[in-house]
Amino acid sequence: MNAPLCEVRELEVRFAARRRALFEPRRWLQAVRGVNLRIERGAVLGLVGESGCGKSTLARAVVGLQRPSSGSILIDGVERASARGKQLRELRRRVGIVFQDPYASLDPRQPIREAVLEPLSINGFAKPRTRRLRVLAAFEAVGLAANLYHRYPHELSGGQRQRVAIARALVLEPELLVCDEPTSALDLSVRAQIVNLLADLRQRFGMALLFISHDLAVVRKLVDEVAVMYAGRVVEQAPRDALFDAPQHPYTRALLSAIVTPHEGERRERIVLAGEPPSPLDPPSGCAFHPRCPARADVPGERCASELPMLSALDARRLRACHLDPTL
Amino acid sequence: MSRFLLRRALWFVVTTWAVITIAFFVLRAAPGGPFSGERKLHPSVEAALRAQYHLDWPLWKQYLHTLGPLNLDERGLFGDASDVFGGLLALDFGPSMQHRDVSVNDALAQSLPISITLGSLALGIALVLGLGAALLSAQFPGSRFDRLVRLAAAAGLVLPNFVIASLLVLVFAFWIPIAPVAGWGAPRHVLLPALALALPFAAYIARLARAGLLETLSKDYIRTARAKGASESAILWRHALRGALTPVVSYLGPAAAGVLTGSLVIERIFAIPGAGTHFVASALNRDYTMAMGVTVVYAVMVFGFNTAVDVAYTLLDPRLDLEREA
Amino acid sequence: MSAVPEQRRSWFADADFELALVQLERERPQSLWRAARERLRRRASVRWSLRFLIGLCLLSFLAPLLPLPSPAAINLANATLPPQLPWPAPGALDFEPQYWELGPLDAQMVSLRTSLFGKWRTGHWLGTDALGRDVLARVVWGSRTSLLVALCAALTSLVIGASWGALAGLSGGRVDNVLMRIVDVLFAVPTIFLVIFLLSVLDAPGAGEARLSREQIFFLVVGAVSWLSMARVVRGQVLELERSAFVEAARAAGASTPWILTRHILPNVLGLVVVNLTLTLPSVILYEAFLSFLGLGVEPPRVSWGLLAAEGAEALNPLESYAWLVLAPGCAMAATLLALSTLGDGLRDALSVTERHER
Repeated sequence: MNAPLCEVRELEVRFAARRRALFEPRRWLQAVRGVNLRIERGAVLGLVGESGCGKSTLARAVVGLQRPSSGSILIDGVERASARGKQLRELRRRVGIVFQDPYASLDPRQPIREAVLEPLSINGFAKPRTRRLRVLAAFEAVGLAANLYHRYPHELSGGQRQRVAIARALVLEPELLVCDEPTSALDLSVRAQIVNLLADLRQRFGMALLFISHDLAVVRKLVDEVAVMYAGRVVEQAPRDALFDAPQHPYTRALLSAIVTPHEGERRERIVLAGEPPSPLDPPSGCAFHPRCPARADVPGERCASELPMLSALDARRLRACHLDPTL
Repeated sequence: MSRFLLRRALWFVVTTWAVITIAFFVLRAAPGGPFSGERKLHPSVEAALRAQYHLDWPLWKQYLHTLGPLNLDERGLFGDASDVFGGLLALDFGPSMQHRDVSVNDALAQSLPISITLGSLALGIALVLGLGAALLSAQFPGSRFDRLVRLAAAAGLVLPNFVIASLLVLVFAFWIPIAPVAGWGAPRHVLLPALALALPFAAYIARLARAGLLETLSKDYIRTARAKGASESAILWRHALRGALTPVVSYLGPAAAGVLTGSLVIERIFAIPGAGTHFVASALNRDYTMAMGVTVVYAVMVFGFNTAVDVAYTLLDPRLDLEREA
Repeated sequence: MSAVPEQRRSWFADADFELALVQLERERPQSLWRAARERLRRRASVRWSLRFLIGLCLLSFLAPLLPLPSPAAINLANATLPPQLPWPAPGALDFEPQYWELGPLDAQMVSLRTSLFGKWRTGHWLGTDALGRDVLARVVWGSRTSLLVALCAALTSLVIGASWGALAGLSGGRVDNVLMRIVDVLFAVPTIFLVIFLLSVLDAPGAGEARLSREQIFFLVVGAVSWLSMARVVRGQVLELERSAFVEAARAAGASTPWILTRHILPNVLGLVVVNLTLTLPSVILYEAFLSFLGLGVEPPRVSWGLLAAEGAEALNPLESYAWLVLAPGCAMAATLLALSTLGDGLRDALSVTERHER
């Protein structure tokens, strides 16, 4: 009974890349390369990283839209890939997802009431009348006015649409809500509203969140724990305050130095990363971050370029994957 | 780019092969043969003719012989080896089955230049007329001229080309006799057929280019150019034209195919001895070799033109990456 | 595995919303189709096109019933009469029911016409051709061929094209590849050559009694080449929808493929199919005219617009132009095509407003 709500074990996801020539060996685009994560009941885990680092693929795997190439995803101890029938339906109910772009995630030909109703009908939940009541209840929960009931997505603002998308995920009463950059397509002012809404919903229903974002300011407001991904791997994981106050991985430091923190008075030195994020088709040897790493000179020898740093515990709650001497 | 061309070449081979194969089997599967015309031939004569054109061979052998590049008959590698290569892959279309003393190659050599002249002239006229009309009407949108262009374009699109041709003949050959009605040879013979062939495409090009121009003219960088004080005509010619040209260029591929199709009709109306005339006649007379020859040549021309258009397209719009194209 | 909690308390107090739901369900929501229809109706050009097309369809279906002269009755005494204005009074009483072999329904209508109007017929309002046949009657009867070709092409592109495209888009991978390569090859082949082949070849003499009529072959062939663009368009749209986030969302909630097909893909493809249909019909009608001109379409004494225009074009000569022989079928065709493309454009605009992204 003590299994975490969601556990990701050694997850790998790769895609076959299009061959450029007829006789070229098949190349693999490896989006996720061995990730381990745990999300406890009611906890909020933030997952940050640049675009293309594999965080969205991870999210899709957690909700079952992407089949893992190896490794497993356990929901409350049940292996996602091998669940069938009733068990699978129960899994789908327990894990919901909110997508990034509220313009694309709602069917333009479907009134929003139908969009919110759909998960209930698909899963044959209760009686039709109760389902429609549930839609209104969900509208209320996400702060949508009831008079929008008959509207179509194109009649709504971006923020309202994202509320519809959240309501759609909420009606099945999920224990884990995966939010794949739910705010990055929204205007700044609306962004805060949606973050507040998610925080409220979490308070009210006690569900766990897997919150994926590249916006650290948003992550900081919402999450308990943060995992930082780079090139398909988690490079640092720590409780929120520990991570934001004392980042241990050079990449995390660089990310954090880029956010503006007016209320804290402190001024971090801005670390500007050179170069591009690595291509998932052929990542650098050793530590994938080493070509861009500002602290590489502090590691003796060519260790960074040749040896993959393992994600290991720095102390009771912090994990880091770096060859750098922890005392530095 | 080279990879794109390579892929195109491969695709070209596949398409040509498909054309040949489909055409071959459709013709052979058809009831009746080239010698089952109105005039009933004596059975022995017909048998001799069939043997001469190898119609008595098994189908696979006929197919391989037609395809080439090796001759399978008595002159080929398995005969006296006096003429090893033959068939379509060796660009040898064989003798015509209706006109027994003419080879398809000779007939094509005579008629194809005529069709190509007519077709390229028509495309040129279509481009000049279409783009000219579009430029003028985009410069004064909403003007009387603009409305006239839009009306003419609409009319050009809904009238079949033989109706357009008849109207042209009516006006320019009968009422104001400045051009001959039919024939081929002198430059003035080209005028009406090329115009009749060009007008529907000119109409479409005018429509495309006008829409493209108006859209480009509303873009931010045009506004910037205006703000910098560039003259209106400089904006139109230097900045907007490029944006308007892309849809037109991509339309040229289908337009070329359309011109080929249209030339079947136009050549007939104006009694022009082009490849289209040969083709229609050969298809009606079941002249297998001639029909096959014209089809393959036309397919190759359409394909080549489409490839050229694609290349031109990337030169105009560098954002498009041919490598990515499937 | 941990058991699902027996009686989970619901997060939502559904019962609180009874009143609101009752009120909301009393409203009659505006459906997207209805909204599109209203937008469509607001455009005068679309209204007129629609009226014209409906009128044309009625006219062409009811042609045998109308008191027109017979389209096939030859009367050399009346050869090449020009159209007259004002129209001569429809007083002639020399109608002879001369037709080609008519279908049972048409024959019924003709006999009904003779019992209704007797020998009374309209005058030669649009003149007569070189054999003294009435041009108006021939244009009206000719519309039947054009509309039938259009209908046939519409059906094939709907049945073959749309399902071919949908199948390719839905199955993806190798199936998609094979299906679309076939379409590509057929596209690259100048289809007109295949059509001419098929028409001349399938219609060969000595093909026996069991062969299809020229007309049937003609419809088959035109249909066979008109579904390609529909297949491409539908496949593109289906692929895009398959990858769309709203389909993913439904998938994540456990929707099956049939569910997604009927709830999301079909409604989103339907509008596109309708628009594509109206926009491809003009080219099919032109195609018929083109083939008839080459002598590969319907056979005299039957008529089609293409055949009429071809006859008119051949009758042109420097002494006496007989322009009406070309103009009458030409104008009929032009008006029909114009109406169709206006309707298509209008439909596209009306249906796409709801899908506009305000980004």
